[in-house]
Parts: sequence; structure tokens; C-alpha cells
Amino acid sequence: MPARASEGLRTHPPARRPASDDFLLEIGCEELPADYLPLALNWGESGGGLPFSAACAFSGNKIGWQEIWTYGTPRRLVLWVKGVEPVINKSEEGPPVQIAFDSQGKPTRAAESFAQRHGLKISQLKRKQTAKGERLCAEYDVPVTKILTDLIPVIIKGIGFPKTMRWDESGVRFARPIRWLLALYGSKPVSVLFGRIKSGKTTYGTRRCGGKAVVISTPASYFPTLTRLKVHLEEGLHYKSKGDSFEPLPSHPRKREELLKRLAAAAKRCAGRLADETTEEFGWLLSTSTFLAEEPVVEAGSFRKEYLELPPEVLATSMAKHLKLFSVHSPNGEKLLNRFLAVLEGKPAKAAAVVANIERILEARFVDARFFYQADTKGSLEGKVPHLQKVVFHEKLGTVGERIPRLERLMKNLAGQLSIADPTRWELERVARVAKADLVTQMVREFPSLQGIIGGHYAKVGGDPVDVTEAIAQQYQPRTANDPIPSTALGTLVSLADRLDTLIGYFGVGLKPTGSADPYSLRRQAMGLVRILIDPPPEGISFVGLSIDRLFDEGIQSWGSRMTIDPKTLKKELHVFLEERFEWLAFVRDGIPRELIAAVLTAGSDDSEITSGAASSSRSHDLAGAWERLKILQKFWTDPKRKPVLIKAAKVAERTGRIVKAAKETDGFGKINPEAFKESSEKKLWAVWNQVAPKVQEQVKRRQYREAITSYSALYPEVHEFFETVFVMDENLEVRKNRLAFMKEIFQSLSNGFADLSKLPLAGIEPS
Amino acid sequence: MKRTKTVTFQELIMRLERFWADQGCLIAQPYDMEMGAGTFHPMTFFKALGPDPWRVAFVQPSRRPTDGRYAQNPLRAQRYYQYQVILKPAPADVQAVYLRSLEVLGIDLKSHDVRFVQDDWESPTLGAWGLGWEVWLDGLEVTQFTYFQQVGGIDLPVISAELTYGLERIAMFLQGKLDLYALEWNDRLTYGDLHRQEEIEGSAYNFEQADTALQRRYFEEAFAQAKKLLEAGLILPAYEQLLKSSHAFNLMDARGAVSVNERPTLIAGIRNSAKRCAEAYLERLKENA
Repeated sequence: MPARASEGLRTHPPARRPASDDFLLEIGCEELPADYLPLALNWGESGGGLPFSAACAFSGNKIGWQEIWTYGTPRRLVLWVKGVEPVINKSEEGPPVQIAFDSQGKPTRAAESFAQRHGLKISQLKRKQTAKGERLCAEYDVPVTKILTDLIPVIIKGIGFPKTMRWDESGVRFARPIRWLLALYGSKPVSVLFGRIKSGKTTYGTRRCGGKAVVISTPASYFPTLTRLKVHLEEGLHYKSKGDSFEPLPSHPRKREELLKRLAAAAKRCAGRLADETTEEFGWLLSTSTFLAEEPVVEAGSFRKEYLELPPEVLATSMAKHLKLFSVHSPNGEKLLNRFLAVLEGKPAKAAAVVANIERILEARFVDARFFYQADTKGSLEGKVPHLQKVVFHEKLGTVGERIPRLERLMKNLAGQLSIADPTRWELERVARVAKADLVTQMVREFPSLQGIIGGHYAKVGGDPVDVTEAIAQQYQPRTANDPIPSTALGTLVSLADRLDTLIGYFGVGLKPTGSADPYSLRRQAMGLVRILIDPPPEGISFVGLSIDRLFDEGIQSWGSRMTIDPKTLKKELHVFLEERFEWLAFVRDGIPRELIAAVLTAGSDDSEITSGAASSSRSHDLAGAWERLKILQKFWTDPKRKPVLIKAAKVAERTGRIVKAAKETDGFGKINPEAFKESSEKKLWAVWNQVAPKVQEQVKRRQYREAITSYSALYPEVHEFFETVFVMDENLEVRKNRLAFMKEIFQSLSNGFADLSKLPLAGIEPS
Repeated sequence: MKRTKTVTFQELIMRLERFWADQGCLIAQPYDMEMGAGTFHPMTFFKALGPDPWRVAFVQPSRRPTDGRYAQNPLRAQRYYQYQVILKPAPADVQAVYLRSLEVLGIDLKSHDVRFVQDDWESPTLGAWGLGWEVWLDGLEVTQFTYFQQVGGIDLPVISAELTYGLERIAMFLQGKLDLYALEWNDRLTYGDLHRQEEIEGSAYNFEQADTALQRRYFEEAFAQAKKLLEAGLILPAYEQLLKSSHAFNLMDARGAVSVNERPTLIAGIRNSAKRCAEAYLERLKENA
């Protein structure tokens, strides 16, 4: 190695690094869709929103940062990264040392050009041992502003939107045109080119302020400036850096909460209150209103009382969907008031005139709704039924009219199985007949989300009894995850029948959901069905013991020759589909451990005892029963007082179950011959078993599962002793089979009727 | 600009013509055929294709048979007027220019609530779509504002901004009228004087009398004609047949004579015609270049 050359290679002096600083990016846009902003500020659409895109860009490029904060309004997305390190140390390997220096130790062209490329002198290059021998290495500092120049376009492109567009010849895409970029690192501007937009230090006020331009000097001064400009930012997701990774910090939708407060106060001033805040519709309207204005201002207006004769849902939907207005309800929530609340962009010079204009437009909408209402109620609901023969349900599944007799059959099967006397036969047939008639009304064509509700109103107008009108109105409940299930028996029957008929029909012609594709929302339908079965039912109804299998039989029969899948396969697919919803509700919604769910769902799966995985067992065809058993199991599992009992019972099941499973594939089982028991522990267990068995059997039968678990757990000491002292797999086949038969009986006594407790996560847990 | 006391319907149009002429737009005339919107006007449909800049503005009477309300609805009608503006390429300050046009009409933006509310515009029959907004003036949708992305199923090399003003609505706003038929067209005649009876009869025709079998025949014949004319290299005549079949479809639709099943098929048929017209037009542009 040439001595002179190595002398020339100095180590890089550890320079004192300047302090880190904040980075601010404001993406100024033409109005972004209100529905897109929550996505862009949170998890985004396929790929992530602004926070995730930024965190990935910073961490992926090894730029140190502390926290990421994001904000947005219709006209800007804001990224504030705190504690960004100012200088990034980069290193790059160059040519091998042998090539970099000639025999005299003089640098070659390769060394010179490598040094030149990084703006360094040869003497500033380092050496580095690599897998491919010793190489020259350039270590150099890059100011973070330079890296950000390249990174900002990456961050912007990383924001996922449902739809994007082009707007100029650069061809860059975003949800709506970007018109300005503000990029600052500390007080230094960061120069960026995105499409044809050059970054600067200027931000702009709201349209109400005439879009006043203001120069921003530092990230810290940006936020007070926006407040002065009356721009109310909504908070998005925040992240905290954790070295190579990052984790979300709690964030608050402050703007939304503030708007809700002001709306509630305004409703109060109108001597009323807002609609139910927990509904999906209200959530949507509030979110839309939050993201449709930079400076939301609430104004109240009214409409003529005569329109209150229209169904309140029609008025509320018309206000919300067409004009994004909040309806105001009487303090007890029962009635709609002739008032509304509008959220405006900033305070207009003549707010009263604006409200008057909105009132005029609302009136025109109500006139339209009344036009539909009057046209629809000219004839009876009954008169619309024949038109359902022309409404296609699905091209492979005939018309909606053809559904009527099937719905009636399913409802009758249900009523029969549940042995409920109420509703009467007439009511049941009436509901099945006219439930879908509102699909051919003008009102439902105008407001599809009001199907059922409109039918209920029209039935009332036509003089139907309240049980019938309520059932029609509730037939699509639950519409969403939070929507309540039907509150009446008849409503429950029609909702279940509707879902069963739909699921059987689509599955029966091979139109089941695949992967993420579920064009007919069958998952939602099934979810609602399962919720009706497992959530607290209306008074007088219990679904425990209801055979879904028999309903499937009835449904498949009523579909007749349209079904192309054979009934056995079809039923199996449907059972599995419902069980998956059951598991989702138990696991995701209610947080019940998966093992507990599996224990209940595999109980008594054919007679195959301990087959693994979610098998469709006859016990699981009774989902309400399975839910009841699951809740008891969960109670034991989570209650520290009860858990030891459950563990003992589970250990009995685990030990007996394991050996039975092993034997199933080899010897099979004999009949128990008590005379043939030889060992004392075996005889002891048999004696105890004879006391326990009848109790467990009776308790399971009576659905006294708590007691059954306790009874069963009493076997534990003897079972434990048995396995310590007895070798089940005796050489003698008869002895072996006798013992196996015994084990099987013990195992199945609880696993068939309650839950396969051997499925519980017992590893490392011993009874106390 | 000196403001008259009442901006009449015709004054409104004249102000828009003046404003957009000053913006370098060609002031064109309405197309003499039934169409659902100014987008169907060949000066929109064809001129949005291809690379050349283009600025145009015109009134287009528009027909929406299903919107007929027998002159009973103060806002909706089965025949109304659009003011159509195409700016190609879309200028960077297009929103500001648009807002200025409202001020020229006499709307004091400080006193009102202007919003750009998301609207993803699509014309399935023209194979055209774009993103943009409905512009709300105190909650009233007064303009459809779209950045065209595709026309005739073709990705556009240059993006046009399409501004479609609902003339009646803006006039109602300016005149403070509750009912479109009460609008002052000039200082002597109202909109109702000119159009009320026509609207009642038109609604009755659309909903009650239109012969659906006849419309279906029109639809099919025009459809076949379009194909034949395209093969003969007559692009605009072929496109005109497409307009005819599109209107026949709308009439059948208003009469409830289009089943859910055939609907997509019929629409796809018109769209394919539109696509072929667009392709033929671009082909010709290339030949003439």
C-alpha cells in the first residue's frame, strides 16, 4: 500500500451539528372533496394519507425527525414535521483502492472523477473495507433542504385519493388542482417544483377574506397567521418517531367537535336539539360540513310549517342530501321542527339574505318532495304490488314481485320455529306482500336510502295497523353496523326473511362475494342477519334453538329451479358465511378471544369431536345458542374468580380430547365395560364420573352452562391422577378400546353440548 | 359596469357573452338539435379532443325529459338553458376568472356564500368524465365546473375547463324570484309567458304521450344510421344521429320503458358510437395536420 496515499486520507472531523428545526409544507389546492379530506388526513385510500406518506418518506430516507402533525381544510393540506435534523450524512462507495491509485500511489482518473462527483478533494476521501475489498468512500453532508426538494413531490404523490385528475400539461395528478406550495425549513424556504407549481413562502387566506396573500417567515408563525386569516384547520393523524419506525400519537378532530358544539347551541336557540348524533347519516353530515368550509359559521333558518305534513325522514334527508342542512328536532326528539341549521363559509356581509336564499331553495326541494308524495299516495300501496313484477331483483334471480311468496314462506317458517303467536297470520302475509311496494314509488327513486321507511309511511296513510307499518319501516334494519336491529317481532321476521332469501338466492346461483369484491353487499346482509340473531331480541322472542339449517331448506325449496348450486354445497357455504360474520362480531366488535369462539363453534361438529378448524357443526347452526354459550364462556374466562373452575374443566377436556383424537385415526372406540377397569385410579374416575355425568347431561340440556362447567371441573383431580398412573394405550386391544371409549364419553359430554374446551389457550396454564 | 335595476334574463346572457368574449372566447350559437347539455354540442365534444387550444362560449337549450314537472316546480324543468364555456387549456386562475364573471352579473360575493362542492361529472353516453364541482351560491347550484379528463373514451392530451351556468337559477338569484316562470326575460315578458305552456305540454308528452315503440324505432334507426355514416367518413352527420338516439333513449327512460337490464346495454351502444366518432375525428385531425 502506497504510504503517501494513505497519509492523504484523513478522517472526517466530527463537526458540531447545528440544531434541528421544524419543516412546514402547505399544499394549496382548489377545493378538495369533503369526503376525501378525512382520508387524506388519516389512513388514506389505498396507500395512506398525508401523515403516513410523510412519515415513510422521512424515515425511508434516514432523515431524523421527532413528530409529524397534519392538518387540513378544503383548500389546504398541511404537514408540520417537528425536530428535523438539518444535515444528513451520506456515504457512497467508490472504486477499489487498487484501481484508485497507480503503482506510484498517485490517484488515477477513477479516483479523481469519483472525488469530483462529490465535490471533494482526493484527500477528503476515506477508505472502507467492504465485501468486495477495500474501496474509496466519499462521506459528505447534505443539507436537509436539498433532500426535501426531491422528497416533497414523493410525499405529495404518496397521498392516496379515491379519484385523481390532471389539470395542466405537466400531467401530475392530485384530487384537485394544486395552486400553491409553501415549504419552509426553519426560516429557510425549500425550493420545490411539483408539476408546474414552484414553492414559495406565501400562504393565502379564505375566499371570504378574498384570498389575502401573507408571507410566512417560520413554521411557528404559520399557525397564528392562519388563525388571523380565520382559517380553521382540522387535525389529522400525528406520528411520533421511534428511531427506524414510528407510532401514531392521539389526535383530536377539534374542528369537528367545535362545530358540533356550535350546532348544538344553535339548535337550542331554536328551542330544539340536533338529530341523533350517533347515526351514520349525522356523522357524514357533520364531517362534510367540517370539511366544506375553512371558517364554518352556523346560521339558523326555517321553512313553512305546512311541509311538516311530509314524513320527517323525507324532510331531513332532503335537507341533508341536497343542501347539507342540519334538521332540528323537538327537545324530546319525537318531532321535527320547521327549522334548520346551515353551515356557511365565513360570515357573509348579509347573513340574513343568505339564509333567505337557502330557505327559497329548500322550499323548492320540499315542493318536489310533496309532488312525489302526492303522486305516490294517489293510489294504495297494494296497487303498487303488481308493478314489482317488473322490477328486476337480479337478472339471474327474477323480479322483486317473485320474492313475495318466498318471503312469506320464510316468515311463516320462522314464526313456526319460534312458536310466537303474535303477529297474526294476516299481519304476516300483509307485510310480506307490501313490504317491497315502495320500491316503485317516486319518493324512493328520489331518496333510495329511505326504502322501507317510505313504505311504512304509505302503509300508515293507507290505514294499515301500526304493527304492519312498523315492520315495513324496519325491514332493512340494521342498515349499518351501528343501526339498531328491528324492535318488533314482525319487523324482525321480515328483516330475517329478506336477508335469508337474498343470501340463498345469490349464493344459489354462484354469486357469492370473492376477496374484497362484494357487489351485492352480501356481507353486510349476513352481518345484519347474525346481529338480529345474537343481539338482544325484541321482547317475547328468543332465537336460541332456532335451526338456520331448516330455514335454508325452506328457502332453497322456495327458490326452486332457479338454484344452480346443489343444496348440500349451498347450505354448507351459507353456514360458513354466517359463521364468519359471527366470528367477526365476536372477535372484532366484542373483542372475544378467537380460541373461545372456536371452542363454541366447533362444539359437536358432526360427531367428529375434535376436528380442527371452523367446521360447520349442528350446534353452530344455532347461532343464537352459540352466542349464549360464548358469552358464558367469556364470563368464566375473564372473571378471575371463575377462571380457575374453567381451567380445571378445560384441562379435563384437553387431556381426554387429545387421546381421543389420537385414537380416532387408529383403533376406534369400543363400548365401555366397567368390569374391565383394572387400575384403582381408573375405577375411582369411573365412580366419580357416574356422579358427574348425569348432572352435566342434565345441565347442558337445560342450558345451565355455568353449572355444567362447575360440575365438569369436579372431574379434574381424578382425571389428573388417571393420566399420571394409567397408560391408556395398553398393549391389550380390548383394554385399550375400553379406556378410549371412557375417555371419549368424558370428552364429549361437554364438548358436544357446550363447547370444546380443549380449544382454549391453555399452554402453560395449570389449575391452581 | 353600470348596473341596471333588474338583470333580466336576456341581460344576463348578454353580460356573459361580453365577459367571455373579453376572455378570448369565440361566441358560438346553440346547436339546432335536441340535447341534454352543452357538452353534446360539437364545439364541446370534438374541440375538447386533440391538442389545439380552444375557447368558446354559447347558450345551449337543454332537454331533460325526466325533469319535467308540468311547470309546477319552481326549479326544475324538462327544457331549460345552459350557458356553456370551454377554456382549453384550463388557465391556472380559472376559478378566479369564473368568480369574476359572477360579479359582472351583479352578484356581490362578499354578501353571499359561494362554495365549490365536489361533483364527479360523468356522461356515460359520451364516454366522458371529469372532476370538479357544483358551484353553490347560498346553497343554490348555479354552475357545473369540470376539468375534463376523458371524452369519447379518450384520455385528453390537454385538459379543458368546462363551465356550465344554469341561467334560470342565476337569474332567479339576481331577480330574487321564487319561481323560474316569474323571471323577467326582458322588461315586458316573463319566462313563464314564453315557456310555461310549453313546459306543461312537454311534461305531458314526456310522461304520458310519447310513443315508446316509436322512440325505440327512432333509437335503433338512428343508431344504425350513425354506424353507416361513420363508415362513409361523415363524422358530424354520424354524431348527429347519435344525438338523436340519445334523445330517444331519454324519452323512453322518462316513460319508464327502459328496463334495468337493457339500460346498460343501450347506454353502452351510444357510448361506442361516441367513441368511434371521437376516434374518427382525431384520425382526420392527424391527416389534415
